Amino acid sequence: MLIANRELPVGARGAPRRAAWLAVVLVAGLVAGLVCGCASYTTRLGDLRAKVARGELEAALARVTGETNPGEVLYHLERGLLLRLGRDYPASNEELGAAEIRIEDLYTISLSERVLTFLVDDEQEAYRGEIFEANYLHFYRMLNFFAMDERASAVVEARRLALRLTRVRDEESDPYQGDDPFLHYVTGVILESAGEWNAALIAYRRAGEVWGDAARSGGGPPPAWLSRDLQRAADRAGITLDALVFDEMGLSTPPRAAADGERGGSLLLLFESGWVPHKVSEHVRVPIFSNDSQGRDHEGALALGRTLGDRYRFHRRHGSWAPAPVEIDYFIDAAIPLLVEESAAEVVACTWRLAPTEPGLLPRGGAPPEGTTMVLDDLAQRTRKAFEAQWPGRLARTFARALLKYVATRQAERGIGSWAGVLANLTGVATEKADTRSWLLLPAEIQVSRIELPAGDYRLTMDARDREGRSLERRELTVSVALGGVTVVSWRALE
Amino acid sequence: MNGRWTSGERRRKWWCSLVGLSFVLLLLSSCGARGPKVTRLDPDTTIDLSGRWNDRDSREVAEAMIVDGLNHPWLTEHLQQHGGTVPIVIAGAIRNLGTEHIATGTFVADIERALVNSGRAKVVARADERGDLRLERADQWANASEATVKEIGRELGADYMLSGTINTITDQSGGEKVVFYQIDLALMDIETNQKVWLGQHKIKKHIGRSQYTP
Repeated sequence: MLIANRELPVGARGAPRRAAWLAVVLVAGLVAGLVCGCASYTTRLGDLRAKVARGELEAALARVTGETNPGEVLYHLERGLLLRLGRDYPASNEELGAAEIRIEDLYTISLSERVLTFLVDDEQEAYRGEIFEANYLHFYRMLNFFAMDERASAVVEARRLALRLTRVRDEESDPYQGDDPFLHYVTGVILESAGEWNAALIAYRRAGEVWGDAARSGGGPPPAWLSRDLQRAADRAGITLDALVFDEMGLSTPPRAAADGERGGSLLLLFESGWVPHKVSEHVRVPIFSNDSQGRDHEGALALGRTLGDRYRFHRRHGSWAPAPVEIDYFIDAAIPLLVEESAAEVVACTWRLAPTEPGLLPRGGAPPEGTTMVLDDLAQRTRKAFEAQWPGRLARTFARALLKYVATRQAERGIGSWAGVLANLTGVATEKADTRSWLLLPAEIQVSRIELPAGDYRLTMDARDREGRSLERRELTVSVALGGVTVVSWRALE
Repeated sequence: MNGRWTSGERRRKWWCSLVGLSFVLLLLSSCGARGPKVTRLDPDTTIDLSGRWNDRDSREVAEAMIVDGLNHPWLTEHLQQHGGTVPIVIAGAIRNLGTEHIATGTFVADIERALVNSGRAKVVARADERGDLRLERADQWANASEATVKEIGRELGADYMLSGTINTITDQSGGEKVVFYQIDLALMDIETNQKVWLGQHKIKKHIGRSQYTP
């Protein structure tokens, strides 16, 4: 028999006092639930992406400011990217820095918040951010410093990111979550730009090693130009790289002359498009079987919650609640998080063309350089994998919480009366919502090109193209490539 | 009632307590005060919030290193060679080679302050400050009265340049972090490129975070 169906004795003398106490608590709970609001994060910020896509950055900023609170990680992350899109780089960095500090502080788990997650909903606990989200705040801070031409600060941020990547790699058991070859690579580029060749070489090697390991990289190939970057960094650091190093990374050994960057510098194009999948809260009903184990206490409720989580996933896969017919006692209601894929991105590629602003930058008769960026990081996939890894645990907690709320309703009904049961039920409904929090403004993917060029000024034309090759958005700007330097151009296409 | 609870009563009490606790916590969490609370502090007060490099580190390192620097033979030798004239120092670049954003400008200002306040050296404007001064002098020649206008070409040339690096080594595991700062300063004779003093200061910090809080 389940705890929910068990007859619970009510003491004759203590009943009125307990009933009054429970009634107060239930009313307080209902009021608190209503005060807290029952809309999930993505519901509250449902039109955020649309506003950004329409270029209504002020309105988007107001929405984030109104629906989240200072001190919350997502308040700072979302605002950080919005301010970056509005080219207010100092303010963006301030917000992203605040997010980083908050994430560090949230290493300490609040037990009272943790209790509330078990009894109210998961959003009662402060959001810590996914591993990759905390990585990317460094990435954007780095780009912001570059945009402000504060190269020294960009390099410090690159070192911070390198340090964080190393620590995450050591601490994270899931190799895919624990590594990011693209971020290693970008770190290498920034360190190279400061002449820190040894550190750049380490970053490039790590990027190559991760790209060469499908379990860590997620399957994407390394960029062809990585071998030249490796060779150049090794040459400058005074280190000889064995051909085996390139083989292990799946790279061809570059000709020595090709790695010579004495005559020019390089241009790093970063093209961001799409949106990462987002979470939604979905109401589900899952049956309790008559032969389910008893959830006598907190641990029992958790164990039964895990069983219900497995049952829900089984139903999603097979369309039935169990492999064989079983007797259903009753249904439990819960709000679970689901990951929603964005509709297929219109923009799939970015083509670029460079025209020198002065003669002599190109070899005589040589065509202006042009090409297409390649996907180096699939943030949509990172979001999916992080969600999948956490989903079983989240389901177990959600269903355990639903059980507790169900029990509270039954207790109120039996101890006080049917009105209290209704009140308890209302409280449960008012406070139940799935945790749908995530950094909504991250792009689905980042595409990259690295182009070595003679030092000088160029007219750069970038086109965001759809599957048919049509240009949906164009950006034109003049870029300066310094001798031995790295110029970074970052463009976010907003569909 | 015999004063002993039955298992059913115990269970019921457990559930009631749990539900009650949750609502009390919920009320508390939803009634938190909003808005900043401002308290004015003595600038000399040391408050370590995050363990990062802060104003106290900057000030203490600058003062300690300048005291060290002024107690080395180069100063005596300079005074002997220049008939007791105190040396003129210009602050050069302090490069941050670490993994923490450090306001090197503040650190340079602290170094200059420690030097000037010691009375044993003069400090002249840095390269990024000279432009404004020269513009002002030029403006005075156009607009100020003859009695108060300042001469051009009377700037003091520095004898020595002070420059250096700040490096950090961070070791972290879980909530425990140890940060090691090493600050290296070099005082160089501008005429001869000779390094007349090399100073080093180290700070080691342990930043611990508990895993749980009530």
